[in-house]
Amino acid sequence: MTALGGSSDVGLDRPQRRADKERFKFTTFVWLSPAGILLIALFLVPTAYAIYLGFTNLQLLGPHASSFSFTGLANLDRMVHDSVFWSSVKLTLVFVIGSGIIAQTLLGMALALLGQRAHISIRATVGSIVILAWVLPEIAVAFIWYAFGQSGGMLSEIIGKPSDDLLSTVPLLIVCVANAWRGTAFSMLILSAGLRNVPEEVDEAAQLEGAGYWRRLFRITLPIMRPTIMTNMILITIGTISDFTLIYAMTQGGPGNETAILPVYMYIEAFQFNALGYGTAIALSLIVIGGLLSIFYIRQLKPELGKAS
Amino acid sequence: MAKGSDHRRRHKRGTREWALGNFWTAVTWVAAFVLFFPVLWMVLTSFKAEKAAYTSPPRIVFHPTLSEFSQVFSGGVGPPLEHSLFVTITSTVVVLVLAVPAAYSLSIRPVKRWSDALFFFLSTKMLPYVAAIVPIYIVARNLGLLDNDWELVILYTAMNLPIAVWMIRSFLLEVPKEVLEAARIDGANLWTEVTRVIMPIVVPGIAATALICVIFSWNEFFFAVNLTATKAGTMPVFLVGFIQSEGLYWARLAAASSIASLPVILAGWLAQKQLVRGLSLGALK
Repeated sequence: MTALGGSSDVGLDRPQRRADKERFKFTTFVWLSPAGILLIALFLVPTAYAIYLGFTNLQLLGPHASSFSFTGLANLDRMVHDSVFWSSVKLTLVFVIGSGIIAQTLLGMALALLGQRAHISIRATVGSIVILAWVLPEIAVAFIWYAFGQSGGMLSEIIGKPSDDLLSTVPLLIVCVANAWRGTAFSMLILSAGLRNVPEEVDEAAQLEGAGYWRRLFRITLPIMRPTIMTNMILITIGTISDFTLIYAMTQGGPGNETAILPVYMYIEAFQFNALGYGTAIALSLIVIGGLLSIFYIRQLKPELGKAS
Repeated sequence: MAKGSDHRRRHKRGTREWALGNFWTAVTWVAAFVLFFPVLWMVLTSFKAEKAAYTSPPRIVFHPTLSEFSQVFSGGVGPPLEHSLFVTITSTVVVLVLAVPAAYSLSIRPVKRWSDALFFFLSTKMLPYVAAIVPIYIVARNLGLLDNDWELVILYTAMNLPIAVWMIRSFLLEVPKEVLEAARIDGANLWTEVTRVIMPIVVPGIAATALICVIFSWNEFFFAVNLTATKAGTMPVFLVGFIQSEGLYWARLAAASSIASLPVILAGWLAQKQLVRGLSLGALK
């Protein structure tokens, strides 16, 4: 088979080429299939099954643990009237869009621009320092900010009220700060790479024409970096939309349900309150949100990816 | 005279730029330090005695001790470390075995229609895997795989596959077409082509991909906490139990967190050069 491939590349007549193409299709399929099958088996099939389970009364333990049944729109009805669910949706949007997409992009961009104006020699050093924030296990990040937010913790000391337990007075703010901290460094690395790809000549030409720094930034640098910024936003979304660890370890969704974003609320309902069916229904709403965002992103990005490959 | 003033102005501008450069360098250092501070705090606190960890205001100069580390080691960190090591290494090896052929077929010998396959790999990453946990839990329970190392190996393999395929593909795209064609004209078969031509070029990229898979598997918590307990609990699961049972012992928790962080910090530094490129799905170099 391989020998045939070798000779057909040398030969220039058309029929052989077409046969060659046919063969490529087959091997492509063979080589893709193990990875493809694993992904289908472990994510698509379970997700499809989850869509069914979301409409059942499945329980973790008890009478409906093994003999569950289809309950129609009961879970959906419960969800629509569940005020905790709606506040959880709001919290998720604040967490993903506020502390994720907006905060990490803005802070990361500010740091990348700073690094660009600083001396080249320190960029690499700063890069390897900030990378730590991203590489650290989320549980370790959660512990650090948990300790910082407690009474007597670093944050309480800094704002001058050492006896305040910030995790019970402003829990959402603290988990958002922790999340922003975790992701900013990574955004900075991505956006710095994007900045380096902006051709210098364009910027210099604008400078000669007398355009100031901010004008050049908004009119030239940022538009050129648009694909990079989009890519970065996708990565942030992927990283935060199903984030469970940080909040679970810091607050477990509390106090009350003040930090229960959808993945945490789903966990509470499914594994603590025994309602696997309802928990799955909550998780499905997360798929809807993720799906809407990914449609938006893929539409924005597909032409650019096509060009790259 | 005109020349002189021009020269002076240029000189002045040079000094000003130099000063500005220093200023921005200083600001960058400060920003980097602020970002770095929480990590520094964790490492410093891990070397403190428990009492010294609580002083208000916190102290930078203290008497370092290893006592909290030995407390963590006698507190049962051994088995979780072993589980984490086994699951991380095994799943990373399996990921590479599956991802390299897939990436190869999507890059060196691309067939147009299959570019959609790339989007398939990406789209599974957009699927919040929180949604899949209940079915996975039920299937694992029915197969008797709950609290088992292999269950995590399979899941982490699937979790890292999309990113690994994308990363390795972007590295394979770097292999110059001319080199490949030259090798084929010289009569190289597929095996020689892969081992002699492609591999030497992409090995650094594959190594970086492996390190990133190591980081993700080592840090993964959601599947681990829902599907394992005492028999297969990994480091993050151990750590969260530690936070819940000894949440007030900051120095001990800092020591445990530092132990859990060390492997990924090393992996992160080693992979740093390729990290951005890989994680931006090859969109950035």
